[in-house]
Amino acid sequence: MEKGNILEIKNITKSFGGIRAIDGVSFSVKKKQIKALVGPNGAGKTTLFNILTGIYRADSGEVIFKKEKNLFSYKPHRLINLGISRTFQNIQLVDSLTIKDNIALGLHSAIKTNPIYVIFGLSRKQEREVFEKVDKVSKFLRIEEYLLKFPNQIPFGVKRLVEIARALVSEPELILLDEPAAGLNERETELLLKSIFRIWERNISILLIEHDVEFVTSCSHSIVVMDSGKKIAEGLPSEVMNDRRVIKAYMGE
Amino acid sequence: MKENVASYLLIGLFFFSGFLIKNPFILNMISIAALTVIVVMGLNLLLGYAGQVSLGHAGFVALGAYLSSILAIKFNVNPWLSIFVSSILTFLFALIIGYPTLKLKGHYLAMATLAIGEIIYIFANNLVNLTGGHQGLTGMPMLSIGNFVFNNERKFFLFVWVVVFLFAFLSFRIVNSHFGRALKAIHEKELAALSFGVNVHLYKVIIFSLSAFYAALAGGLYAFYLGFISPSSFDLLKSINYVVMAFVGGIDSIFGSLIVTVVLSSLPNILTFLQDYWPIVNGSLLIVAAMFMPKGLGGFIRWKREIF
Repeated sequence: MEKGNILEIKNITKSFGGIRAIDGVSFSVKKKQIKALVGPNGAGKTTLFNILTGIYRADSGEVIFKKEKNLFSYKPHRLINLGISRTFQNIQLVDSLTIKDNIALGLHSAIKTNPIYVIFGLSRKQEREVFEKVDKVSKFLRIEEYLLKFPNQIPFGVKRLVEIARALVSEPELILLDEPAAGLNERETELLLKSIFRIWERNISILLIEHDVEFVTSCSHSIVVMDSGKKIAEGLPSEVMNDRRVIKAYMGE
Repeated sequence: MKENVASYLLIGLFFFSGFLIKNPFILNMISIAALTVIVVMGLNLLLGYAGQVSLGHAGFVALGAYLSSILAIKFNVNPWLSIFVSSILTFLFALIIGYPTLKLKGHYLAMATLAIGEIIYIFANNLVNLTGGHQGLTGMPMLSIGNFVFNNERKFFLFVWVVVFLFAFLSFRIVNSHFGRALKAIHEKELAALSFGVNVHLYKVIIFSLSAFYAALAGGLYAFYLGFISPSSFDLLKSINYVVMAFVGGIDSIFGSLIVTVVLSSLPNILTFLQDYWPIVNGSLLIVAAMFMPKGLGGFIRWKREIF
């Protein structure tokens, strides 16, 4: 693994039936970098995300995280222990849990589970520590006023932040954001941008998928552009957005 | 008031009513209802919290009842020990059966669990040497602690409500821990649960087995209390009744399933003229509940509280 990288994606290929959803994509994310993955609908961005998070299995290729750990050898529920967490494009908050509990779910694997502990209430100290961390992260993202509400009682923009809070509470080294700006209005998008920069200031690497080109150019250090399963460009936002192939992919001939 | 406090109060109320109620018929009826409460509380963990359906829980009740009776009758094992051992065996059985079964979802899971219940029912009917077939099994010794024998309805009534309390306590401990949080996440957003470190399949299997343990223990107590069991007490209709009770009582409400189970399992004995039509009553109740309180009684109470 090259020095300074936290994640290396090497030659990933994935087909569904006869369709090549991802065709030999490689790129890497550096430590403390905000990397964006963009591309038109059907470019394979979400498929790649699902491969990274272990939901799909790649046909070939590998993903290396930190000290030579190949992600494909881990079950999906173990990834969070390595220091990778994610948010979802279509909000995945649990409606019957308060925001507080939803964020606490992000620390599930930090609690050492044991049925005996649960029955005799011995896990309470750990639970308290979890909620202290939940308080901290919600203050950091300025959503503490919503903690006791349920997901259907809060605005959409806040739900996005709660998703991020849940991913952040376990203090990961790499966070994957799946279209964080989708469906947000201008003010909410601005708030999100600020939050992303503040996360970055905490030395957390970020890989995000995004549709909104303006949003991406204003927040990322490096951009990868995909089109119909292939990587067609990579580089600084200003370079990539002037690339002829990128313009073609977005605008047509 | 918090749900656990309300539930403990209600259980306490039932317990003390045991000193006031004189009629052994009513005591008997509510004791049986209390045993049903234990089954439904267990099922609620699976159905209400983890969102996995089981149409075979009567099978686990049967396993608890038959295994404990056989241990006590044929092998002279102490009744308490045989109830405990049979519950543990049922737990292990559910663990083994649940491992492949709970990879299924929705209707497929419902069908598979229904089959498990039916298979156990068929075994109970046909292993005549062990179970007595459709004529049933009798001759279980009475439960006793030292010289204190549970030889009348009142003694058992008081005892069984203590057991209900213990199981309610266990349920609340589970649902109010990180384990309960994970179960709810599995129910609603399985993908999110998986991404945040919940071993979804393992959790499903564990909660399935735990609810089988609840059922088996209730089954064991049932067998020793009545001193007679036959397969007809554990048929498919019973499994469906458990699901109806859990559903009408309220998905994810232990308090709701407590009330509704006592009412629904007692009513057929009071409204005897409706006995032959009881499945119709049950079915209509399910429809009404689904239409007007889709989250069951528990959800209804919570909703009312939010308004006022």
